[in-house]
Amino acid sequence: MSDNRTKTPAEWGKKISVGFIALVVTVFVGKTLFTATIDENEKAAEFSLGRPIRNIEKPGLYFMQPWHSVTRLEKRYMLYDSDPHQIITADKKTLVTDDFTPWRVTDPTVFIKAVGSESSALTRIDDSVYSRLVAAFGSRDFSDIVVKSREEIINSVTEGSRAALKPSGIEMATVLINRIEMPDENKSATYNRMSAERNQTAQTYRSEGNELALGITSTADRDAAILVANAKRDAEIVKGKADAEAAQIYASAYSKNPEFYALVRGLEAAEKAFGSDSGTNLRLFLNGDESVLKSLLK
Amino acid sequence: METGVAESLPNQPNAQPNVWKEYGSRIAAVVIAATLLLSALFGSFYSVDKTEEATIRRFGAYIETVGSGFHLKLPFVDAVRKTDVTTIHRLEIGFRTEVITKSEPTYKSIPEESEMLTGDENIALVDFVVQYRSADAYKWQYVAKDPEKVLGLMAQAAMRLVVGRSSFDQMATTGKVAAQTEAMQVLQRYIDTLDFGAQLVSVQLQDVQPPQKVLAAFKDVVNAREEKDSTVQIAHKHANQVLPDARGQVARIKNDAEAYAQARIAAAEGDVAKFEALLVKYEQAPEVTAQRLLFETQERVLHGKNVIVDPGSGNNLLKLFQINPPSSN
Repeated sequence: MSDNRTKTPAEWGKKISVGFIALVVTVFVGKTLFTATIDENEKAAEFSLGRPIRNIEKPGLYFMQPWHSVTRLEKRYMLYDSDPHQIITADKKTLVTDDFTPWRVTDPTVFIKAVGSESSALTRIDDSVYSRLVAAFGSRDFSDIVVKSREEIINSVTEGSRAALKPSGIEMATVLINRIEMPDENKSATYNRMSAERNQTAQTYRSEGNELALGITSTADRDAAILVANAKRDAEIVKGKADAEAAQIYASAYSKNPEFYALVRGLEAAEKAFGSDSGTNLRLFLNGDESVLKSLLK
Repeated sequence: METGVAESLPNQPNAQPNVWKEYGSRIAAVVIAATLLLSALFGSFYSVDKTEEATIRRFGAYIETVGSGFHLKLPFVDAVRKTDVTTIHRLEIGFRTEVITKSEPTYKSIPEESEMLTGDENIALVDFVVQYRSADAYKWQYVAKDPEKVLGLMAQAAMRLVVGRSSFDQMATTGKVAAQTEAMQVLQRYIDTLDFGAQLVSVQLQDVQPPQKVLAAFKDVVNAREEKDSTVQIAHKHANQVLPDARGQVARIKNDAEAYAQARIAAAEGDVAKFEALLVKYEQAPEVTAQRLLFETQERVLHGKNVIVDPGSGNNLLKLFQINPPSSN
């Protein structure tokens, strides 16, 4: 006969253990099959065998029939950053531009049906934005776009694209233009022009410098010459006056006795002409009939 | 019912499999329980740095934001995500700081970011820095997927818009401060359209350069301006020298003339004084004075000379020594 033994502790232990393991497994399996967790950065659409049931927009733990599936999508704003496009302006100039916009999913079910995936969404956005940019650039001149109209263009492109993509479950924030540049082929022309402008400015500076310098030096030289010339003229006047005064002094003195003056003057002249140092080889011819004086004076 | 002797199981030779059968479930259970317990233990607390804030999600759903310190949470179901909310971060646009050595950091240039078109259709290389905080932990984590990248692109767009409104010269010189102020305003507007937790602190222009190929021409303008200044300076120097020299000359000329004048008059006065002294003597005794003068002069003149005398009409050599001998003709 089989014992109806009470279970031993070991057997209890086994049973408890097995039960515990079964519990853990059940919890995990149940969680996987019967629940879905939607995280804070996600939104989801619930499907039953391919048929959409509902959107789940609030994060948390949800009960779910095992044959339902959940497709999760990023809830946050993602970045659409375009590749550079070449676009032609109204005045036939080519610009290279790129743009970006943060975008996000609004209605998950709509999005999944209309767009399917994030990469498809990027393509849709690109098409929508690019076509509007081409139109916006094509109706404006180059300088207009670069200087004034950026915000205008941004606004019109944003409005248009936003409206166009809304039905697909895509919500776009503002489309922003990042680069507006010249194509590489045109850049060297710009560089040349920039260099030429600078060279001309440099040239102007140098010319101005020379002109100013010349003005300063020639003015100074001229003023100096005038000073000296005037001084010389004044000096001549002074000397002339002195000569005249001296002559006056002589005249008034010698006129007191002109005969005596003649004598003295004659003697002086003779002495000067034949003076003591005139050279010992000098021979004097004297006429006995006349005074030495007269002879000398001849 | 046959109550035979029960087979003694414990005495069977293959004891090994029975260990697993006996203890396997219990071992597994213990291991699993221990694992769960440890996970629960370590998953029930966390700490947040002084500079951080953390968002807590329960079953994936956000429940609260907590500040710095040591906190408890539910294990397994609560998740923590931290963000630094006080440190000021630095976003470099147009360049990257490579290595910060003790003396000087080196920079690498990123032309795709820094090349910008100016309003006068020139090209400028613009390097700038955006300083910001990720001040709201929830928004920084859950509004935009890559908030730093969004901020970077917005900053570029803002600066390009501002540069597009300025001329190259303005951007490079006088317009720098205005440009960075305006760029900051524009960037703030862009940030406000998305509200993703970024707090803008400042926008600072680091450098505005012409493109490499044009750099030499630009530098030449600076040289030219300096040359102009120095040319003018040299001219001034010359002028400052010439005029004083001239004045020196003028003074000399003047002094020479005055000296001449004085000498001339003094000589005249001296001569006249001498004459008048002689005149007095002459007027007192005319013939004697005249004769004396004649002799004195003769002495001086004839001294040391060879003299040849033509006797003339008579032998009276005394005529020689008269001033005005009666004429022999």
